[in-house]
Amino acid sequence: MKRTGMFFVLTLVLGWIFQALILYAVPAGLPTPQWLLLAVLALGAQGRTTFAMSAGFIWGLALDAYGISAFGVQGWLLALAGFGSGTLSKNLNAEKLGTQETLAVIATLVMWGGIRILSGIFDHSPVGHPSVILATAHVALNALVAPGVFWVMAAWSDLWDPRPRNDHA
Amino acid sequence: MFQRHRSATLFGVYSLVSLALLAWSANRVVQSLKLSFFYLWSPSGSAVVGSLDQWGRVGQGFAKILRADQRARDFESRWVQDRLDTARLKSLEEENKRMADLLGVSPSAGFHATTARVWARDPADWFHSFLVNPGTPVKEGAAVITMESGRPVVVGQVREILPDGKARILLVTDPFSALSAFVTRTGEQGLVEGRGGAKILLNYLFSDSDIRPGDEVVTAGLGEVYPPHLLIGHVTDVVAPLGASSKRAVVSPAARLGFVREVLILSPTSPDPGDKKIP
Repeated sequence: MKRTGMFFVLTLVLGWIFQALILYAVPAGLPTPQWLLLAVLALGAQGRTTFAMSAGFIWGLALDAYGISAFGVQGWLLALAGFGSGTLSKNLNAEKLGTQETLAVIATLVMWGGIRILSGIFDHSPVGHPSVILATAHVALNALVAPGVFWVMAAWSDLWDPRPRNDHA
Repeated sequence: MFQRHRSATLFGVYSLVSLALLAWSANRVVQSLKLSFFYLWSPSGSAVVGSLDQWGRVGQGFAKILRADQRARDFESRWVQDRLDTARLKSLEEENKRMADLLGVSPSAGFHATTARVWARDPADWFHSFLVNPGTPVKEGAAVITMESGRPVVVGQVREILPDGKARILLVTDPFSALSAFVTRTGEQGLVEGRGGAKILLNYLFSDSDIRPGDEVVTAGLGEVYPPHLLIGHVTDVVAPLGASSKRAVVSPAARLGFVREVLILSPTSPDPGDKKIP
């Protein structure tokens, strides 16, 4: 239990540090892959639904607090991503490249649409609504790095809690 | 039951919390929660970013050290060169003094410089003179120079000392200004005279003079008012009246007289009374 808690806290902190590093290194205005979304998807696809959903919710709220989206938008959407990928994990083989790419693309589109819809309902300010160009860039970038993120998250999870390979898919 | 649907229940809780946060986003409690969340996450990100900044500063410091080292080497080599030049100059001065003693001519005067700031200009007298405020007393007739692109250039001459210590400088462009000069390329000598405008004239050149536009005109050093080889200006035009026995050259002064803010006033130093002159 203690080990799981440590795994959860470290994942949260290291994921956030990585996100901060990327934001520090990449010039403002340039799109970057949505690392935290991909990490949530990867964790969910391993069958760690609660873990992925909780991490996604906290990371999402942090992104909202640091960003310009309404507080709660990304929190809910990342929790949804964790819940979705976790629920589907029994029917998916997360080690297949096609699965990873499909998950990444669908989740990015859902994220983009969700932010637009929720911001439209709850946040009437003209800023914080991602454009189609940005969404396209995110889809491309997320698809590009998704296999790497899935692999890293699998290795990281196995380090803490090795589990038998998911053979059904 | 809860265990079976734990994920769905938890997602429901998260959804409700998110909905509440969004619905009451303007509420002070939600705003405080957002700020708390912001500060809660700050240490993890800022620690790493701060470390990166620190490393960046180390890199900048290292680059500064390298640049400082390079400059120190340059200064050291220049210092050695200056030492050699000083030794060579001293040797030449001694030789010059011996030769002058042998020939019975007095050695060239030395000069010491006094800095002065331009104090006032008279709109009615713009191309003729200005007032300066020298740090130490100067004498009438002393040469006035300034620096242009690291090179000393002629400005004019001290015309008048006012009772409060300020000095009126007669510019080279004034019609009463005249100084001996020569053309660097040909060595030909002439007299530079002001015309009351922006340009000056180099007079008394021989009719077969080879002077050309672009030639550099410098002080000849005659009369010991100006040291030799101070830049006066560059020839812009050569005037050779038909049948005249001499040529003239129009010279553009090197000193940008409209921009001068500080000047150096060169006063001749008295020759050593102990110098012996061979009759």
